[in-house]
Amino acid sequence: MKGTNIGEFEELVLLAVSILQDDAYSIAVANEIHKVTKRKVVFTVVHAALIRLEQKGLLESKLGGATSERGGRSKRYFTISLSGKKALLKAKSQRDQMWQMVPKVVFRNI
Amino acid sequence: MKPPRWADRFLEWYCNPELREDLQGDLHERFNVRVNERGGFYARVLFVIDVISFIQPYTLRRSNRSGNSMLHNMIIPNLRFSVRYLTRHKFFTGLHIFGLTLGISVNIVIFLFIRYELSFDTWSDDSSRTYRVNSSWQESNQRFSMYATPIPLADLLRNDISGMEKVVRVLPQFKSTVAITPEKVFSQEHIMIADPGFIDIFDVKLISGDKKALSRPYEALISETTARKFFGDEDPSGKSFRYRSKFDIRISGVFRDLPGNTSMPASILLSYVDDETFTSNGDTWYFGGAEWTTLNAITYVVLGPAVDTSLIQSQLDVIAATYINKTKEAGDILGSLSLQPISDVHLDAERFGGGPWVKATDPKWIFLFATIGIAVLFLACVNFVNLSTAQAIVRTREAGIRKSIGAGRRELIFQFLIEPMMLVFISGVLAVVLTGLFTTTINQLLERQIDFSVLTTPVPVTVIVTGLLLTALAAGSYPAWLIARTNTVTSLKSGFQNSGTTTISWLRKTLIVFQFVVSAVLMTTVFAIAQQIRFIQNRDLGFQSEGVVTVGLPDPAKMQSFITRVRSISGVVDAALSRTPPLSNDHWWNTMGINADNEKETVCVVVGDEQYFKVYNLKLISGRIPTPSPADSVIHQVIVNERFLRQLDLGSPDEAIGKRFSWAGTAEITGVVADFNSEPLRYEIMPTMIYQDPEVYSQASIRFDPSANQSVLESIALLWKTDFPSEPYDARIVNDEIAGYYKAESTTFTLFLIFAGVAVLISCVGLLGLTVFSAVRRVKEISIRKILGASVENIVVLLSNQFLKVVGIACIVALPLAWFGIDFLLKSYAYRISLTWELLLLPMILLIVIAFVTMLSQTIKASTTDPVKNLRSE
Repeated sequence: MKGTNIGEFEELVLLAVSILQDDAYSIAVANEIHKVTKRKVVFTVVHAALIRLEQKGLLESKLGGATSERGGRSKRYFTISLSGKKALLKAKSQRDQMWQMVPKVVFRNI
Repeated sequence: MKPPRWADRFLEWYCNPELREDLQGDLHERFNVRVNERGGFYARVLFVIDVISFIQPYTLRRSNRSGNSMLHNMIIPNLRFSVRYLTRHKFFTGLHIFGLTLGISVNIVIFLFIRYELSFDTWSDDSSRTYRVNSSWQESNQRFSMYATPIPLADLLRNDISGMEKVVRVLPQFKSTVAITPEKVFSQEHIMIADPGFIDIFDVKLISGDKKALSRPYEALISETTARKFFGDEDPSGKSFRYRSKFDIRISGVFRDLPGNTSMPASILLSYVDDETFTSNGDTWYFGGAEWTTLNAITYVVLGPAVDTSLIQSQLDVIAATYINKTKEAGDILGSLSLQPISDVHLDAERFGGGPWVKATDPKWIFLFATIGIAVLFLACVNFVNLSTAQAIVRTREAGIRKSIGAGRRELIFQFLIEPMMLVFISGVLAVVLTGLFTTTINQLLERQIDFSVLTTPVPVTVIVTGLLLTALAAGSYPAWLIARTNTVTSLKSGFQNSGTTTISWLRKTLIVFQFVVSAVLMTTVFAIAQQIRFIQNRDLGFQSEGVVTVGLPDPAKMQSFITRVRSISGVVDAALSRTPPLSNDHWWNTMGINADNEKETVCVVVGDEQYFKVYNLKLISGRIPTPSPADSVIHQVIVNERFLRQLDLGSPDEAIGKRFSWAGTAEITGVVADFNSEPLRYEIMPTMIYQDPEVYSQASIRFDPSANQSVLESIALLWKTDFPSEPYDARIVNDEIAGYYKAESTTFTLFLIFAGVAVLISCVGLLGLTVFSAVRRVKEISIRKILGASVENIVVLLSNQFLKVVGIACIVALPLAWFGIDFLLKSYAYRISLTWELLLLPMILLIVIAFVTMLSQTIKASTTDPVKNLRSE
């Protein structure tokens, strides 16, 4: 089932939204990902991912928080939905599970 | 600072309304962050890039998708085909984009430059009704066109003439000292005595104070930059300064700096005071001694709405007749007055440069630049036409298939036009970025302050987009038409298509000829300008300026003691007192004659003491240098040059000694000096007179030992500072000052160098493309020739031959054009190089060599491939 699994970048986006809580709008999310991963984050990609995740039902959004430097326009604040939370937890548990299956010996010679 | 409105609108147009609100907010927020981090230009460009990069399936408006069948059936699939074709032929695409980007960049810069030049002084709302009053003077057979007018003119116009809404008189002043405190002294440029109306005409924005300050004596308004320079962050209002060590001026307000495109970039505005010592520190022209024949003011008028200029002109004629021509003082000099629209002021270079501070731009340069710009862009289009028609054989097959499944000719033309459009628009974006990156360099080179962020405002965007569309059409119409007209059946038959190829190859050759004609003309011009500059700089001026420095001497009382002590500095050879160096653009010009009734020769008057001749190595041919005559002497003892003798018919240098002529009473010739150039080399050697007058000396000319260069200059500066502690030090190396007069020439040279470089590059890129193409097409022929025994050289010659012939023809065509062009440029010099064959041929030979070398890499590559490999597979 493809729908419930999320990609690596999507996972980062979901996590960033969770970290930022009440302040999770597109630019803040992009900055957060950049801050943690230090990779070059293309804003267009982050925006597209947020919209896609909302369409999948993993995120919910509402408008608000207009400021003058935004030309008086609102932000779209994202919050993680129940299925979003499930998807994240599932991804984490899958990983943890696999980590535990890795024998310690494997890393010894690297 | 706001993001470009058109991009914002575009976003609103394409974006899905559900996503629009917050996406637009996001982009504005990013824009504002970038403005703070990297400045307006970058932010605007990046904003546009953001808007474009968000054109993605999920952001597009959905509601009317079905109605947009044109977009989905024609444009998008065709775009896709074009992208595929362009990415598959990366080499040719690269060539096109390279050439087009260069061509478009040059045009963007020229466009902004011309826009800037045409925008001078048109800031106020009434600028269409604003005029400058000019004057012309007829003196025997010489005519002088002036921008200056007599001081009383303004009052007369204001009081006695109907139809005037506003009359403004300004008096631009020389660089003068401004003392904030006795210790803090500045040498301030662009000081201007002005009427309050100046504020309105030049749309000066006051930050504090009001324009009435300019009607109260000894009050001043100063610019923001000047305020910061004088007082740092303190508020200057109410403070005062001492002007020219004589006048105490109160500052009553600050105005925003005037924009770069003004001919009057005033830094300090002083109110007018009717006192000659106060007003006489600016350029002054004397056409007689009277008030009405002394010109040192510039007069602007604003006419009432719907006032006829011819009406005003007739009144000006009456004024000129009554006040100038009917009076006794004017003698046989005839003066006249005329109106000039203020928008034309910056484009009128005739009147002694057009103004005291900002040199006017000759419209012929603007035309020349525009022509060169368009020619260069056309060169890039030619590349596209040539390569596309060369490749048309391949494309006709594609066209044939499309036709056989039902495409009409119009659709095909449309499709093949998309390609040049894409190339041109990609190049356009690159060109905008490129010009943006080189903003400072370009402004330094052109000596302008062009604001490149206007590139994102509506008018330039419209002009540029229209220009790009036209460029794409110019480049693409013919190839598109050529491909689309092919006969379906023949195009699908296998084998070569030969119909019409001869006319096409003729077209190609003609276009290459055109390209190289442009390149050759520009290259020869560059060579000629370089030669002319060298010629001017190496010319014997009749005196020696190498190793002489001048320093300004503000206080006449201390001059002698200063000069005596300067001479004792080790490393100083000699020192002299004078008003100017022998070559200067600041000499006095007087009219003289044998007696008072026939004063008609314009003579350059140089003031310098006895040592002046030694310091500058001026050669005395006969007679002696006079000893300073007492102040009350009736007869002035003077030295004249050879040209003077010839002009006034005074016989040989030996005969002339002791002869007299009329000048400020009577002058007697005591010596004759060899001819020397007293004006920049645009002018001939003038009749020149040198006399001594301690009253007008204002600088010391010091010849020093060049080996001790730096230390001598330092000791001079030190000595100067102890003698004049509260004045700004102003030392100039005479050679540098002379070189400064030819700055315009070196700017022209750099510009032409860039134009020629771009033209040659674009042409060679096109040539390279064609060579590659023809080498690929003739690969079989080459292989067979090699098998039959042709050497590498044979093949190289075979492949280069056809193009070199074309370049050769281009050079022949270019010869007369280059000759006319160079002649046109050199005409304004009194001293100019003569046009020789070498001068014309050398750059052309160089051009042929460049063309050959460009092709060489490809021709060698083609001729060294293994013939067996090429012939084995069919």
